[in-house]
Order: sequence, then C-alpha cells, then structure tokens
Amino acid sequence: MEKKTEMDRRKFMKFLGGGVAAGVGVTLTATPGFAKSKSKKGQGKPKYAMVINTPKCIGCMACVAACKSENNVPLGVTRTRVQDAERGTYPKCYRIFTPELCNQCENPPCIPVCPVDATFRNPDGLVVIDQKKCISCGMCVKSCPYNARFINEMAKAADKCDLCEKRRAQGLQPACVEVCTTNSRVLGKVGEKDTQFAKLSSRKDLSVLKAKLGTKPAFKYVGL
Amino acid sequence: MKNILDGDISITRRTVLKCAALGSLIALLNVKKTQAASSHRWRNPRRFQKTPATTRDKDVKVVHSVCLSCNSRCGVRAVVENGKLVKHSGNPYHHYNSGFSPIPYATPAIETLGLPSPVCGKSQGIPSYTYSPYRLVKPLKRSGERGSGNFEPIEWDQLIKEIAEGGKNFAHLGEDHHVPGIKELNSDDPINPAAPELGPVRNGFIFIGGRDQNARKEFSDRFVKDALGSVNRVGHTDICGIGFRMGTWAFTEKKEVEIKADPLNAEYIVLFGANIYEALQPGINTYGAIVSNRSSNKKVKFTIIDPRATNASTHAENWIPIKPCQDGAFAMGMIRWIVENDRHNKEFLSAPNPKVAAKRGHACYSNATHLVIVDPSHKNNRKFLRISDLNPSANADEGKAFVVLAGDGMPVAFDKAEAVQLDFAGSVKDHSGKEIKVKTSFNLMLAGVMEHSIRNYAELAGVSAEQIITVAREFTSHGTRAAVTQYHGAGNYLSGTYAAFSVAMLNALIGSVDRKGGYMKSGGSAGTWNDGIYNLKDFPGKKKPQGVMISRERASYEKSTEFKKKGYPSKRPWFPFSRGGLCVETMSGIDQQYPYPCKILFTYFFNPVYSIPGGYRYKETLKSAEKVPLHVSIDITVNESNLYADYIVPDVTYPEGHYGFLSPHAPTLKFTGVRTPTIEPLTEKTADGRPFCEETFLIDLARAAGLPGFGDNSIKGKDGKLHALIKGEDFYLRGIANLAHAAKIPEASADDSVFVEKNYPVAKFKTLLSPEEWKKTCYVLARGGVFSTSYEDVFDGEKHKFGLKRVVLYNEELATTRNSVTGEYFSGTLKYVQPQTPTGTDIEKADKEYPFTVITHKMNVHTQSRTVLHDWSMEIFPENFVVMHENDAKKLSLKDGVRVRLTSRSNPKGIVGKLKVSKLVRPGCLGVSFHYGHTQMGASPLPIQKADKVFLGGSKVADANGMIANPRLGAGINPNDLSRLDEAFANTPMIDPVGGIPDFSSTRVKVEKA
Repeated sequence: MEKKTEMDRRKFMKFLGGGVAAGVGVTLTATPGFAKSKSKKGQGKPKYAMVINTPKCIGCMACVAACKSENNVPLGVTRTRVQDAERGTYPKCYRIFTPELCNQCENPPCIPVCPVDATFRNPDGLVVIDQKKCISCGMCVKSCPYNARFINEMAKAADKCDLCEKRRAQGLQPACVEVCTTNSRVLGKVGEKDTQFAKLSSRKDLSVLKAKLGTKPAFKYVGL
Repeated sequence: MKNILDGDISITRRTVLKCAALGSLIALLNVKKTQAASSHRWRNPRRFQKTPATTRDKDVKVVHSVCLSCNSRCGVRAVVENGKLVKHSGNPYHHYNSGFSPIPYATPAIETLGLPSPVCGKSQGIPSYTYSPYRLVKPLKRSGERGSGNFEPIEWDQLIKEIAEGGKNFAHLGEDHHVPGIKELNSDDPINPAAPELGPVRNGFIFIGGRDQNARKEFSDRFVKDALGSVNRVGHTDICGIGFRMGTWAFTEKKEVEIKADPLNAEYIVLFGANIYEALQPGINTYGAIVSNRSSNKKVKFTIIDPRATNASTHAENWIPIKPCQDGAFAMGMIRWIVENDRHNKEFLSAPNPKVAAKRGHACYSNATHLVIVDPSHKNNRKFLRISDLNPSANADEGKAFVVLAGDGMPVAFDKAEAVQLDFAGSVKDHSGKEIKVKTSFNLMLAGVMEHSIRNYAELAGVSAEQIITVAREFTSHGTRAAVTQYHGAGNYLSGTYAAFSVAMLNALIGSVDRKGGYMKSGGSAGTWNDGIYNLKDFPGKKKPQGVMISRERASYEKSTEFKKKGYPSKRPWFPFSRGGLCVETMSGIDQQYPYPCKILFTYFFNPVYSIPGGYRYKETLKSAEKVPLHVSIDITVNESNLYADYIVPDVTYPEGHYGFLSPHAPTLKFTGVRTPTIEPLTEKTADGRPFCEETFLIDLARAAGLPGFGDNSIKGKDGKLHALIKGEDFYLRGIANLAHAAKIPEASADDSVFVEKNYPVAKFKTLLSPEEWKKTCYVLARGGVFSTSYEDVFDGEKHKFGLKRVVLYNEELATTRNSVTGEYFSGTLKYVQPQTPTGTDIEKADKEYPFTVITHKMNVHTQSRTVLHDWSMEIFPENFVVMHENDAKKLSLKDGVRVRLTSRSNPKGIVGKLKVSKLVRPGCLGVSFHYGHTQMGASPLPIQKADKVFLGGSKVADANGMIANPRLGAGINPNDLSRLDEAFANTPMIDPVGGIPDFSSTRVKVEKA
C-alpha cells in the first residue's frame, strides 16, 4: 500500500512539471484542438510502419470490429475506423473508404503535450502510452490531428492503437491486419526487403494524412 | 482499504486543485470535470483493459468451427479463455477464409495457430451476441394475453407435459379454450374429410424454421416429418431470396437454386442485385475479397446493376442504377442485342446432347435445339416433341427422347444427333403424315425476347439503350470467362421468376455454364453425414408425410377437391412449380386457415413479424387463439413475433450448439465445414444435465407424446446395434463419424487428437463412438471440417466436374403449369412480365400517388434481424437511414439528417427515420437497410416475472417490473413495416404467383418532414 502511494506521488510530481511545460506550449498557439507543435520532443522514427492501400479497401469494417474485440475497446470510442465518402457525379459515382488509425508520426504532437511523459517512444520507436503514468488529462487526445486517441473510461487513461503489442510479441499480426481480407493494411519493418510492405513502401505515389501539419506520419497511404 | 480510498480521494482533490492552477489550459482543452474527478482509478492501469487471449496464449482453448453470424458458412477459429468465448478469427483450413486457397488439409492443427486468417465483422461481434443479457436461459409460459409480454418461467418437465398433452393450459388466465397437444395430432384421420388430398390431422402441426442449416434441419425433420408425420416443416427460402432462385430453378429444371460467376477466373462479372462487398454467400471475406483483390490487379471487371450503388461501387467498372423490379427487362435487352449482333455462342447452344457438348469442350449442354409442340390441337401442346409423338410404336425408352432437327430437316432423337438446327419454327410430320407445328426452344426463347425493342427494354428498366448495349458488348467480349452473379435484388419482387430466368439465361447465351471463369453451381459436400456407419435417417415407425403443405408449395390446385368443386380461381395461389420454403404463404395460410386450419405452430429461430415484408400483418394472426391455438417458439430472446407465443423454449447460440454440416454455396468447391460448440451451453439444464435447447426439447417432447425415433434404441448402427437418442450429440457426433467415414479421412495423429480432446467441448462425448471412429472424427474436428478437395480438383480442364450438366431455354413443366388464380398457363420460356400481383394489379400504377419506391439491403456488419445483439455492429452503425437521391432531397427541400415520415398505402401512419442525402441511389428510390427498428430483443421493457432468473443478464436487465430495456437496441427503422399488402388476398403480404416470392421492391411511399 505504501508503495502505491509512493508511486502516486511520483506520478503526481511529474504531472506538475510536464503539465506546466505543455500548458505553455499549447497556450502559445492559441488554437483549440490540434496545434502545430514547436517542440522537438518525441521526434523519431518507428521501426514498424504500415502502408494503407485505400483503393483496395472495401469498407467491410472487419478491422474495426476486430480491433474492438482484440483490445477490449469500450463502446463509443475506437482505435481505428474506416471513413467513407461519395465521389463522382450521378450516375458515374461510387463510394470510397479510408482506414484510419494512429499514424505513428515522426514528429508526434501527442508526446510533447503529455504532462507526465506517459506518451513516449518505445524501443521499437513506436509512440505508445504508459497507462500507469497517464493521468487522463486528455491533452494528447486534443493534440492528435488524426483523432486517433481517446480517453478509455474503463482504464481511466488515454488509449490508442499500439499495433497490438501483445500479438506482435507472439508473432501474430495485429488484429486489424489479420482480418483485412483485401490486404489494405500492410504492416512491415522499416527497411525490410522483398516483402509486400517493401514493395508498397517504395511506391512513388504514397502520401500521408494532413501532410501540411508537419507531423510526418510513418504510416503512408496509397490513393489518398 | 479505507486508507487507499482516502488516499485516492485526497490525490484526486489535489489533482483537481492543481489542474485548476492550469485553469486556462483546462478550459482550452475542454477536459470534462468528471474525467478529472474520477481519475482516482488511474493508478491501476489496464485493470479493465486486459487484452483478450490469443491462440498463442497458454491455458486457452482453440476450436475450429463454422460461423453462423450469417449463412455464408465461413470457417472460424474460436479462442476460449476460462470457458468464455473471447475471439473469432478465420479458419485457415477453410476455403472461405483463404480466397479459395486454404493451407494443405494434412497440416497438423497445432502448426496453424500462428497463421493469420480473416473473418468478417459479423463474426468478430459474436461474443456480445452469445453473452447478450437478453438471452433466455429458462423456458417461459405466457402469463397474460398474447402480445402483452407477460411471461413467467415454467419448469422443464411441466413445459413438456403441457405441450405434449394439451388441455386448458391457460384456464388460470380466464381463457377457456382448449389447447391442442402433440398427442392429439398423432392421428391418421383426415384433416378435412371432405378433402382427403390435404392429408391427415398431423398436418395441423406447422414448424417454421428461420436460420436453419443442415443437421439441425434434419433434426427438426426427424421430429416434424418422420416422427409426427406432418408435411409442414417449412423453411424461409422465400424471404431469404427465392426470387432469383426461381430463375435458377426454371433454368435448371428444379435442380439448383444458386449459380454464380467464378470469382477466381472470370474476366467480367455482371452483378444483378448482388451486394458482394456487404453481403452475399459466400460472404465478404470470400467472394467480395476475391473479386476485389482480382479487380485491384485488373484481372476482373464488374458491373453493378442495382438501384443502389453498393459498397462494391468502389471497384466497379460501372454502376447502372436500374429501376427496381426491372432486372428482367435489362437482361432481355442484352439478349436481344447479343443475338441480333450474332454474338451468342452457337457452338454451345447448338449442341443437342451432352456427348456433342463434351466434344466441343463443354460440361453442360442446353435444350436450345429441342423441338417444342406449339399446336393447341395437339394433346401434347406446350410439351417437348418426343419420338413417341412421331412414332407411337417406339419402345418406351426411345419414345421418351426429345427430338431435334438435323441439318437436312429430318427429325431425329436428340441423343443421336450431332449437327442440328438451332433456330427453327415450322412443322414435322408424324407416322401418319399429320403435321405437328413445332419450334425449337431457342426460337421460342427468342420470340419472347423479341416482343420488345432494346429501346423499349431500356425504358422499362429506366436506363438508356446504350447502357444495355455497353454491358452486352463487354459480356460477350471474354469468351466463356464471363458470367452473371445475381442475388436477392434480381428477383425479390412480383414477377421475379421471369426476371431472374432471363438473367440466368445470359450465361447460356455465351456458353459459360459449368466452365472455369464462368457460371457455376457448388461442387457439393465432401460426403454423406446422415448415413453410413450410423443410420440417422430411418427408424422403426418412421412416418411418410402425406398431403398438401399449408403454404401450397409444390402442390397442384388442379388436384384439389376445391378445384373440382369450383375451378379457378383458388382462394389463394398454389405454387406447384415453386422451389418452396414459403414461410410467408405459410403465415398467410395460417391466417386464412387455408387450405386447412393450423392447430399447433412451432417457430424456430424465426421472427416473421420483423423479417417478412409486411410481417406486421401477422401480429393479428399470432394474437388469435382460433387461428393459432398453440404457439411454441424456440429462440434465444423474446422477439417481435414470439412476443405472441404461448411458450418460449430457450435455445443455445451457435458457439454453444447448432451442430452443422456446411457444404459450399455456388460457385465451385467441394467441402463440408463442421460446426461443433466452442463453449459450454449457457442455458440452464434438465435434471439429468442436458442443456435447454431445440434438441433437448424435441427429444423430450417426442418421448412424452409417444412419438417414435427418439429415446432408447432409436439410432441403428451398421453393425446392427441400436443406440439411444436422448441428447443432441447422440445424433450429431455420429453424423461427424459418418462424414469422416464417407470422406475416407485418416485417423488423427496423437497431436491432433490431443488438440481436440483438450479444446473441444464435444470431446467429452467421445465414448459414443468406437476409438477408431473417434480418431477419424478428431481429424475432421481439428480442422473444422473436410477440406481435402481443392478448387482445381473440381475441374477437368475448363469443365466443372460437379456442374449442372444441362440447362434449359424452355421449361416444359413451367409451361404446363397454370396460375391457380387466373387459370392461365405460365410461359415456359423468357417473357417480359410486368410486376403484378396474382390478380393482375400493377402496384406502380395503383399507388401512383406514392412517389418513391423503397428498396432494401443488408449491411456488412449485419445479418437480417439478430445482429442487433452485436455490440460493435450497432456501434459502427448506430442507426440506419432513409437514403434519398440528392436531387429528390433538393426538390422536397429536405436536408441531410432531418427526420422524415414514410407512409405507404398499407401503413398510412408510417414510420419515422433519419434522412441521408446521397448520390448513390437512383432518384425516386429510397434505400433503407434492414437490421434496425427493433421493438423487442431487448428494445422494449417486458413485464416478465422473475426476469432476473429468466435472462442471462440476471439482475442487470431486471427490476421489480420485469425486464429492463436497452433503448439503443431499438434504433432506426425497419423497412418491412411499410410493405404493401395485397387487398385481393385478405390484406396479407404480396407474393408472386409462380414462386410465392415475397415482394421486397415494389412498395411505394410518400416522404414528408416529421
């Protein structure tokens, strides 16, 4: 019990320090929601990345359901989604689908705003959340331009995609990748060769979501 | 404990205080106070967030089975942690989870656990369905008037006794009427002594199955047909989509209901009313996935012909927003253009018999060249000319042969001819020199097509002639590597039989039937399961059902006493040519007590009030104790229909039961997926430990009513030994042993046996089988079925080995069948038939003042009615919409998101839904999906006694007043609540006169801001 209280205090102190710093950073921009972060904190390159082949997506939503199931994501929030939209003019019109999830930015806005350093890069370079440290303040949620984060009311902490950490450790694909029946979500190790991921990564027509924000997502899209 | 709590609170307070110091920041970030205030739980991270088990975890169970979230029959791999089902993925042994390319069947199960295998979002949602708090765990008896929702739990033995014996079962409610019991119907007396052709009183027992599949279907048959002897075990093929199936039925002479384009090798596919990225069987992760992957690689192109641009529009070559109910006009326009431009496959069509067809590289031939008698004075008018018509002295076998016309104009037996005439109209001479007017099937088919011009067809279909020609040109530009995939939308309406017949005919025109890349049926099952080592079909005292089904399917009016007395019209249509499975006409027959009254109705996993277009009409049927003297429902929840039942028997969901032997849908492939439970049943149990479910109920009821085939000594082994049938496994596990035997399955390795015995709930019944049988069964169970035949194995070169073998341009049986209402013959070949009711009402004209047509569809994360219990399906799409074309919305000044009221002639009060403005629907049409608009299954509170004991959710869904509702389950609207009823037939749901097709596409509505 004492140990717990001790931990709480440490977390609390960190919160104070981090919170103030981040508070200043955000206030300066004076824009609610996402702000282009000037901080270089948290910059880096993840070792894993995904290429999302949007033209292949058929909007079946299996990935969304699989993620909920895999990660016990509470109702009302989600780690991944598939946006749909209509294109063209009648009758030459059609539906398009865009899967979305944490983009693993090289310049992530969510890391510098975290008042307690609960969001950080793990040894794989992936932006992850230490839910033990997280104080559920919601700043990272607001800072993410991709709407990839949420407060998990069950865990009382921020939450987002971690590319199914446990499954990857077991040599399994992330849940959304496994169920993607059209291979629209292709995960790979950055720099790997002769794989589908490598082939897709080398395409010249890749783009990222909201490139202008300078977040440099490591996850690239085909056909955005 | 207190200290921690105190500590928590104080930290929380300080946190809040410090947060307040950053006031501006907090305000800026809009962090809710509640979040901050409740942050006392943050110290224990992922406490609620434990990641569910995976196949790689220790101490989990992994079971390969078959999904039943819809009828697509994909494989599943269930992960079970501490007895709880936590996850579904696909089964890598199964063709349907692997794009038709599964892993080698011999792979040891344990080696597959790391392999990825997809399955769709419906299957992912299965834990929330299985553990829905609204599931019943105890049987219920009505404790108030029908439909009031007053139920009370009843003890199992008492339930069985009351249903077996009958009596004044509701006297305590002041209801004096006699309730018939099963025993009372176990009699060979005629149900109507004045009309003995209707069969015995046994037929007063009616069993309607909703989602019933092989194994449970046979089990129900054993009770209904074999033990009790009633003809009335009715399926629900009609609402499942009998429309397009009737076209196939005519095209294949009642041999097949589904044929589809080969997704793996077709170069061009025309989709008529087939929603391949959201529904279909095989499902999204099979058919949709193969087509989409090949389409991305530019290997296949496809066209969508549908009033709604389905999700497949994302990859489609083009979308043709056709007018609802007019698929036939489009197809006939195509046929006319194809023939007029000489682009039909004459080599295929002119082959008079299988031998010649085979020589030309085809596994199938057609009757295009066969001569039909078109001579009203001839006794065999409308029938095929046979050798016996020309030469009465020919022996019986030779006499039966069809006749074709050789190149020199001489009539010859079809099986002895080679080069024959395809398009002929004229006469031939019989032995006496008398002329008989004849035409070839091809000529008759073409004559039907030529009744309208292409421009005419285009106008009927609401498209341009150019659109018809474009599709026809593309369709005839790929040799035999093109085909049609038609589904629900291509015939689910009045006159749908002829629409779907012409759609199917397109494939004969290019000769792609039974060819790789073409139009193919399923290759069938991997082996027989209900006979072999154990005879699961026969037993001493087995009855042979006699008489006419209450739906009048597969029965001729002309043979009835009613016809002999008064001729045409019949009171309601009869359906001698129908594929059958007519639950709608069964319900209407019950309502009208025609042709005889119902005494006992059992509904299994069936929700007619919700799922039938116009099903709301049957509320009054089900309310009436005169029309339905006893109604027993077997289901997992209280739904919109069994709300009116007298008794509800709780059933298991498919992870707990629903054993099944699932053979492939069209096209191609040959396998049998085997469904066994993945977890233990969640319903309560009988005194001797059997779960409450359909099987336990029917077994106990049969025993109590003294019916044969159940109980001791009911199943005979090949060795002559008799075995008891007192639990489901006595039947099903022996079925799996039969299958393993028939498919020549080897014995499982020690590892595979351990895998099954450690993981599979069914393993505890292994002693029902001999050790050798069990080992072979383990081989099958470990892999979730028999998948030893590959896609390539079903072909001999380009030819489908298990194909249709014969298709027809002219269907003699259909041509000699009459509409029982008008007395007129149906056309035996293609004919444009304007959608109309059996008495000839054209709804488009009759309901002119209702400007919009409602069209319906399924969504990718839903099945028909029951996926409302899938939490994530309801989260991904919390409600459905009234989807209106943007031009129509503009005209009516309706904005996206407003609430609109839809009213129809049959539902003038209407229903209110949310508008979605879109480009992706044809102007004049409103797209409304199913799945939503529930009023039961948890959506409304119910005054059920002891609700905390009755429902799986216990006190979570119960209070002093009964069951507590979750209003979220009632979101959205049900388009069936608007459907047009047929005034000419007692205001019951509209049906087509040939097949008994329920109408999903003709209802017209008005829209106004709500």
